[in-house]
Amino acid sequence: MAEKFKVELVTPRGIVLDRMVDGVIAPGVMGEFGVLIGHTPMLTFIKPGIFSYLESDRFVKYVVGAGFCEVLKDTVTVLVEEAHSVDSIDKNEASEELVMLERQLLEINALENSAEYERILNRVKVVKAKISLAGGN
Amino acid sequence: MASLRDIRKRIASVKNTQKITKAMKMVAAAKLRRAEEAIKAGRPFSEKMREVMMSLAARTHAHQMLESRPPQKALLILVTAERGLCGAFNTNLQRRAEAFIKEMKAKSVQVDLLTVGRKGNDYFRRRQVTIVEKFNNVMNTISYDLAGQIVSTVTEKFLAGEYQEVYVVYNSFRSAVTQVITLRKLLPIVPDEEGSKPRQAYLYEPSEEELLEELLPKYVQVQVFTGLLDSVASEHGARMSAMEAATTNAGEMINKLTLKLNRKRQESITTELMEIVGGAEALKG
Repeated sequence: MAEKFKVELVTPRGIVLDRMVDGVIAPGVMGEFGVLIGHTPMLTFIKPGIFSYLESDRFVKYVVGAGFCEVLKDTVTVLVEEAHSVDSIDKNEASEELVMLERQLLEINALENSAEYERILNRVKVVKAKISLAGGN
Repeated sequence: MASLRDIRKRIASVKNTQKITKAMKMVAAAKLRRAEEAIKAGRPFSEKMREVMMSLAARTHAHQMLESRPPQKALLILVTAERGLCGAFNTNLQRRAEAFIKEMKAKSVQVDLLTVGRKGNDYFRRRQVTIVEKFNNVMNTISYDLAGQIVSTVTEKFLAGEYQEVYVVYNSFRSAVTQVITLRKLLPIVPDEEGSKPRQAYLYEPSEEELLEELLPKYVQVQVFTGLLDSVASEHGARMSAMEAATTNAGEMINKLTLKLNRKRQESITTELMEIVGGAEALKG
């Protein structure tokens, strides 16, 4: 068994995850990346998507919002706007939210209000990730 | 000499005041609980972000927000409450800010102010300090966006070279009864002792510049936001203990006045009795 390292998943609303794991897979802006022990120190943005960690040959998945991630020799720190474990996802609720957000997207002018547009677009990605994860169970 | 009626009136008025202070205490306690939850949840994020930024700042100086320049003008963000009646909460802050301005003046650095909350503005408006920007009536509805507004004002001035240093002073929340005044340098971002330990080079994805460009303002915003959260929680804590003390004092006062009233009443009864007895005695001849 490979050596373990520490991973922390933190949101503005509190610490979601803080434990020793075998590996993580995170959605970086330049594509998904995996981290094992001894990874080169790295700093990157996280885009909304699915974050998972590996522990005793099983992947545990989380839906995460935008943020960033710092990889150090023995720690991975992920700071994101939001994070949800698979259990906490309500598929119906997520579907409803998706419909609502898509309606908002149509109403908003992407050029005039680009920050807001971006924000909602990120929300949509999070919700879509939620639905796909809930559907996979 | 106060008459019985006067004393009764005073007791009634003190009782009313006590009711008000008691109510204010309850309100502050309820608000405190909410503010405390918000701050406890937000702290790990801001601390982690600080750690990451510190280690990043130690590694690279490739951004204007990280560059230290000899200061000529500094900006102090003063976070106070909107209202009084919270003990020494505002006074201590104002005093600290004044001391800081003096301290910087000794180093021939001019300090301007940016006030958040009405009290700080009220106090320094009448003094010889330039208030470059004020945010009044905001402490009841603090949000991440508000922190964003403050930060964009500040960074704009900082990046334009108008100010070489930016500080923030606020009451940091320790517990419901203790607040610690915290003065912290916001800009430029200087790596602290721990962060400046030599570490391995980083791999940046995408580029270092892009990362810094996005992360630094966000970091400052998070720091200001936690400062605001801290200040709000402290304010409610301070108000709660101040009102608690006021309620106790009012109770004491009521006791004292009641004692006085009873004495006075007894006295007047005694006098009256004496008069009657005296009168009857006189009639007997």
